[in-house]
Amino acid sequence: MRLGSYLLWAAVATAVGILVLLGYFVQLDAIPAEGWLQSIFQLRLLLMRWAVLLAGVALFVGLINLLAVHWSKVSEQARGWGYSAVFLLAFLATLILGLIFGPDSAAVLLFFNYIQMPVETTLSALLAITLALAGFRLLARRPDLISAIFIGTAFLVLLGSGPGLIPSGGMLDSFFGGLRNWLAQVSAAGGARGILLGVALGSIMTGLRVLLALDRPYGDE
Amino acid sequence: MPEVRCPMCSAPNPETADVCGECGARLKPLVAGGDLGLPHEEAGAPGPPPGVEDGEEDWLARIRSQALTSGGEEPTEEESGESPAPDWLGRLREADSGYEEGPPEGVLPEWMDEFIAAGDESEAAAAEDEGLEQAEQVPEWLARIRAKQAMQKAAIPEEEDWLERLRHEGEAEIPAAEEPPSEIEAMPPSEALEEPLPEPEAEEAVQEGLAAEAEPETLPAESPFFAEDLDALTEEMPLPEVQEEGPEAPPLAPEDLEGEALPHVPALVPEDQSEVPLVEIGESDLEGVELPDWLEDLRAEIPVSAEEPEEEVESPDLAPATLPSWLEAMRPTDAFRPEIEIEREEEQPVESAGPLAGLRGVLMAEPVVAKPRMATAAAAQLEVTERQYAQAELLQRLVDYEQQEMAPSEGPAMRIPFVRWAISLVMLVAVLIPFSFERMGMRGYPLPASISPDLAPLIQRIGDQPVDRPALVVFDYTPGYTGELSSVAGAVVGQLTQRGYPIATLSTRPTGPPLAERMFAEAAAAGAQVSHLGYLAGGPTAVQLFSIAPRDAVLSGFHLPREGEEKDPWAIEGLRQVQRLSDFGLVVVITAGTETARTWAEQTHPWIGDTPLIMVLSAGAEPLVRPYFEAADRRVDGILTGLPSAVSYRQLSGQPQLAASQWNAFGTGMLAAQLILLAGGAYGFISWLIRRAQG
Repeated sequence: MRLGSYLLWAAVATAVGILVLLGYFVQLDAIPAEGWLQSIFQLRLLLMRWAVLLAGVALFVGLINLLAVHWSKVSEQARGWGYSAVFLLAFLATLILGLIFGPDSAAVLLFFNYIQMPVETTLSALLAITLALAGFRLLARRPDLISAIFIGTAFLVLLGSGPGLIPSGGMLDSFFGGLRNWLAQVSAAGGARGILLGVALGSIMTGLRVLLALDRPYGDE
Repeated sequence: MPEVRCPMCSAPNPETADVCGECGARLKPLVAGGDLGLPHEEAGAPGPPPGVEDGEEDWLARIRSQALTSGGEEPTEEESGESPAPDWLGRLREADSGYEEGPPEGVLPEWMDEFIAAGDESEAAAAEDEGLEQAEQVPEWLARIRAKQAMQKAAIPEEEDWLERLRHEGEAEIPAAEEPPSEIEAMPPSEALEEPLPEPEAEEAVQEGLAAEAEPETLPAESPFFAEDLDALTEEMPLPEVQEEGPEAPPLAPEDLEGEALPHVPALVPEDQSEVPLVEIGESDLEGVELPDWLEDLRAEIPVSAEEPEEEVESPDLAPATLPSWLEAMRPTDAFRPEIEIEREEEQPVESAGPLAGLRGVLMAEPVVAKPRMATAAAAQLEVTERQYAQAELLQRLVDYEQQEMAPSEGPAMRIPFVRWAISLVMLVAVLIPFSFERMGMRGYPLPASISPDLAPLIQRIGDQPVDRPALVVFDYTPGYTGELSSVAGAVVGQLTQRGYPIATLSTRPTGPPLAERMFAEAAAAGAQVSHLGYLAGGPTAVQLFSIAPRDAVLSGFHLPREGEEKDPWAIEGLRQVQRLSDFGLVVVITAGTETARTWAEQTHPWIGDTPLIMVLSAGAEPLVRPYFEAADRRVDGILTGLPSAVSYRQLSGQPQLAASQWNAFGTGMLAAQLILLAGGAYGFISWLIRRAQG
């Protein structure tokens, strides 16, 4: 029984994975309007719609879980339950307004434009101040070579990224501009490519393991 | 029907019944000499044995009635008929029918008469010798009885020997093993052990022995035992049928009858008193035995002149109620002694349950069995090893540690975060000062003169695309990046609206549609054709699905125009021809995250065709997206990053420039950050030098 279910789920997962993967190698223009190839293409679209639907349900389940967590904190009077109470009130208010007037109504946009967006923007501004403070303290607290390189690189990028100590239009501006592009597009891009290659290799390996049923994230052992 | 109440359980029984139907106790006491050396069943037989004439019943009934009357018990009516004896009694009779305890009825040899008449030991011995001489005349049944008696007498000394030895050894030390002595195993079983009497009958046998001991000596005139009755007993006592087979026995004298009772209690025969009756119960023993009232009265009338019983009581060979020390040590005392206290029988309660219901003086089964008792000390002790003991101690310490109250920790010292407040103040002043440059008559920062080499191709690509196909603008960033990305993306969006592209917006984040609506609000108000497709849920799969079949991925829009009741976003004029992603004239992705940028670059590539994919990125996402732009097979056709590039884009594309205050604020902010880094580096370096100098 266990072997039978294992084979069934593995076969389904492998077949679906191969079917979706083959879609990357087939040009849409090469698929005829009718025939078995078109049927396979439509089946692939159906599977993708199911995946999108499941993703939407997952988001809904996540919202319910978030609501339950904060509700339990409020009901148990746990530490910081006041914040959870505020969250619940905002959640319910937004939900009710969205269900009644729609997500693109003026009331919901009012909430977004005058509450959510200023709050998040303020947090980003605080991030700039926090980074400046961390840079100021870094060498005082960790006076080593890595900290010196980090502070030096940041200072050079700032010099080449805009006006500041060096005014625009001068030779220094061109020099530090070029230096900043080199740091961002050569050294940083080289590291980013390495990261992307690693991510790509990991994705390929994970995909192959799922296709070969070596990894079974669908539940069966 | 007349009834007789049982003296033990008070249960009513028919008058004709000899034993109680409830408890089996004998209802009709045996009279003195009742045993008469006859078998057990004959002594307790309720009716006359077969073959007995009616005249024989009269003397027995008279004795019984007189005994009951003198004893003060309730007089019973005359028997109207014979009631059948219990089954178990009948079985006992059948089992004992072959028991040979004496000669058959009426068969007593002449030498037996002489033996009875002799009455002393010498004469008995002489008679025995004569009997031996007349061995040929001794019947076979008598020979077997003699052989049994001889064997029992021979066994008694051995039994006393090992008991005596055990007593002496028990006083010295307690033996380790409780195995019975070999003498017990080797000893042949006696008849008394092989054929035990039922308890009521055994008790009555003792009473019979008492009566047989007391009666022959002094019988008062009013005693129920008259001389003629005794003579009648000896002469007319009916004998069992089984014994009819033997020779005819002579009449028995009372002293002979006593000797005939010996086989019933052979274990109590003293070794050196062969001629004395085996059952020797004195006055003291009579006091401990419950006797019927008539017998109590009879005993009171007997003169106390008999000193022989006292002497016999004082010198018993067996120590009654004496246990060996090793057996005493084995007896459980802790568990039961406090629970069971022997009380006087009159004070003991009557058993109310079980087969002994109605009896007094029995062990109460329910209180002993059902009453909870404390566990013995041996059961309460645990046998643990050293390791288990150590683990238990460790667990105990852990539990104790958890119960200890932690000392309140001292909070951090209150101090003013001077550096934090100073840096915040510097940054805030640096951003706000440019708004007063014009009032103070100061010139701001000049616009950037250098142009990125990637900017001109991007501007040209967007400028060369035909405007008959809509442009898709994806807003995949959170509101926190609005300050940066709205300024950068504003340059591209301005060019799109400037050229008249039909614009469709989309977002894979729930906060994306309001941002799109906010950005295109002014353009839409100016007459630009903008359609918001709304939120696309599903992540990378949804992006791929949108690339293949946009109409299947997006079913409803966001903030669509209310005119014409158009609810289908794909019914808008600019989007009617869109069936795939490649049907869009341009795709612009505005994002601050590298993951979102990778998703759009990778998932749309197989189906985007010749449609250019433009990325408007934050400064932090540029390094990870640039490889897709600089690759030989480009997945991204253009990148726009940072405010200086946006300013240059506006300059090159001929769009109105940003406000000078925004550019100047950007410049002063960068200046403050550079100065803070320089000050921090200098502070750290000087601190390091000072610490190094101080060692």
